[in-house]
Amino acid sequence: MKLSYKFSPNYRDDLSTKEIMFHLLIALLVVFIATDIYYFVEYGAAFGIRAIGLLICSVVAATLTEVVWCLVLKKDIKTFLSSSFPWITAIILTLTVQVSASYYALIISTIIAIFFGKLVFGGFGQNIFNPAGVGRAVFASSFAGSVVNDFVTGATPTATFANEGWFAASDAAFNTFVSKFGGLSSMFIGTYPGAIGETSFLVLLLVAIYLVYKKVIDYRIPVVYIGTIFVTTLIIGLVNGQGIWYPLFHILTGGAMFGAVFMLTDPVTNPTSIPGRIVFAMGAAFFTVLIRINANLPEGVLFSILLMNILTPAIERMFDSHQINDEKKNLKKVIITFVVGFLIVFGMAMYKVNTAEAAVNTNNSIVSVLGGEKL
Amino acid sequence: MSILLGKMSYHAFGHKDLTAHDEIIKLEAPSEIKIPLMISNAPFEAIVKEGDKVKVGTKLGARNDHFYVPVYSPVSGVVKGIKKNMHSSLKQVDHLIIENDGKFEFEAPFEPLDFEKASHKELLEFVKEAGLVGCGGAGFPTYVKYMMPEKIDTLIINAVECEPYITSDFRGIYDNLDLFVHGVRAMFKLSGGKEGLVAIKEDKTDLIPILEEAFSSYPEIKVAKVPNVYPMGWERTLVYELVKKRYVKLPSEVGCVVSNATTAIALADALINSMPITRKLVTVSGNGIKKPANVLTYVGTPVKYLIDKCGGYNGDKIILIAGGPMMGKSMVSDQYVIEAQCNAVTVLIDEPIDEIACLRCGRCSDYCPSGLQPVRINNAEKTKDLEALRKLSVMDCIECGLCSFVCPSKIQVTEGIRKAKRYFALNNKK
Repeated sequence: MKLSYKFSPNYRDDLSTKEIMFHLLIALLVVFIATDIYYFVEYGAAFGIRAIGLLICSVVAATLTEVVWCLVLKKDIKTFLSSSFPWITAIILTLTVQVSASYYALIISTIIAIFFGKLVFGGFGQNIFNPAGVGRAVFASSFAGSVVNDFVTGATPTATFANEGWFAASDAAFNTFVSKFGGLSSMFIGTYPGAIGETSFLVLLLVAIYLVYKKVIDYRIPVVYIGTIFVTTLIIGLVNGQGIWYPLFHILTGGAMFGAVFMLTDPVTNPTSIPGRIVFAMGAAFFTVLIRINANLPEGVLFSILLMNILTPAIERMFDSHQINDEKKNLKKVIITFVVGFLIVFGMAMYKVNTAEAAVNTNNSIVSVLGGEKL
Repeated sequence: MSILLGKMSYHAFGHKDLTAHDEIIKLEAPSEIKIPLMISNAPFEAIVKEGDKVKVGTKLGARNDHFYVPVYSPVSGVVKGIKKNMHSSLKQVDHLIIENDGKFEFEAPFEPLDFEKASHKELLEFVKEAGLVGCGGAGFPTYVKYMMPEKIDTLIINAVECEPYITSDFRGIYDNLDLFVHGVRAMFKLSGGKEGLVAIKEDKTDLIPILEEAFSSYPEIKVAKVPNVYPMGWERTLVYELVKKRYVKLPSEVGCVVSNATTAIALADALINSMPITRKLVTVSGNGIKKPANVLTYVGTPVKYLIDKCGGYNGDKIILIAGGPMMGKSMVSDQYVIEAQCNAVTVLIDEPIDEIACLRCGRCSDYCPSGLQPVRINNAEKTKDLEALRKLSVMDCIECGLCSFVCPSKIQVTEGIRKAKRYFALNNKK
């Protein structure tokens, strides 16, 4: 009989990181299966099977990358993998690409995501950037054209609307545009072209409720992110003569909800404190709107997440405090962040609208000088 | 609840059924009783010497620093001298050895007192002379808390017992209801408050109606149900739950005084029977003991004696904890003795814990009842960042253990914070 000396507490909760990751896995698979059923029904078996093929390729590539890492560094493969969860990154990455993505593009993006996004930083828990986000960024910048034409499902609402400059000429013009995708209600349910995991707001919402209930994610992140996008685009829209559909379109399209539920909530790359997480989600929302309206990229969610990942350490320091005694101070910081962020995004949007109008005016004056001939 | 604050408490599975509903086992006194010459890390001066005959209630000595706490003999017999023995502080400490003659001759150390007729001053003096200390684990002298009745609005009797496994307060109240009511009423008078609250967890559905009935003729004292979460029994959490006010140092700042339920019973025993704390109800529980039970044992009894009476250890590798599993220290020897403030011995089987990397989920910060950020404190400790530790108010940690408890990666977060506190205390002397 031996009495062991152990530091208190000698009592632990049942919930483990492995269990958290298990719930996350279930949630991701639910999203995947829901979309895949839609593919089978809407586009046929070839599409459905291809989506499964993409998922398998990515998971295998991610796992093999870590196995090779273990072999090179002489680590025990089983213990390493069971506390590194490469498949989660792989599934998230697969869900952010379209079913038309080529296998090799996805595989290379996965390998880069795992190796440069995670392992070189020191593995699980040490990475600064969301690994799936890194993979998706590589995919977007290097393999955008690498699509298999047989599996193209059509232009996404985000890309289409971005071509129109993110503002509709009138409510009627918007209705014509969105009717190509079945209207906002279809966009809520998810029956329109887009990345595998991003399309169904409804499924993502249900999955988010499950994850919050299982204490896997903090409800504040999706609520603040989606809420901030909504409020910001509502005001920008109202000032520029857009209807209530404008903020709704912004939150339904382009993986905003997917990013809110699965990528911003990544515990490794977001801040640990509650006010920190709120500012993090808020900042990502501002960047999303800013990139959408002002930048050349059609999609803002992905890069907004990576940008906020860079700011995570700074946000952590900003809220290094006594959470109870400094609550008022922290609240002030959150409010200031919101006001400053909103003013910047609003100002940039107005600048964009004004320069666009100025360009139109210049054109008109040139047109009149040339005697009404179109240029 | 504020949007910027987490829950700051957590429901922990209590394992209370192991002992809550079984009869108390009354243990005989062992042939030798050892009284540590130390109370709550303060020196204790003995006034008896080798060869002296003592009776139950004979004054052995007193804590004589800035507080006065007399200690009385729990048995009758002969003082055998002073010997070093393992203490619950994990140090070797001088113990007064008394050989028990088994006769239990009693000499009343003080006269009984009718608290209803006594003045506040008389009552306070009585509590001081009775050597009453907080029986919840800390052993703080009770009289000190009640010296400023003019500041107090609310007396809180802490019957929360939020540590897992421990049921000694619950069982003590259940079996000594009359004494408990008497003690609470006396404390209410002593406090000078306008309202008395007996705080008890809402899941104690068997005891709550009994208590409500018992206090029904004293409208100034109410039974307050509190959520079944840890650390609801911590003074700050409890005061905030009941009066929604936070204080800086002492609960008297917000008009409250808090005493443990078992302390109230001990006070009643002293008032009615002139009996100081000579016996203690101790929960011996956990998966590492064969027959978990509440045992009534004499102060100064070695824990080994309790373990043997509860069927012995249930395994080869054991963690023996003085107190509950959350805050209690693990002991390397079972020779330490039961003191007045002991309420539990938790015996657990030593099972390996699979610790993996921190995933920075921030759960420790969400649930910290002090509102600290354990993960940030641990990071600051690793980089020896004194300024960050100051910002993070590292010294406000009470080591309740909740951060380690909720950590999904099973990291010893609390131990990291202890390190940070030591580092900060050493380097912050300016």
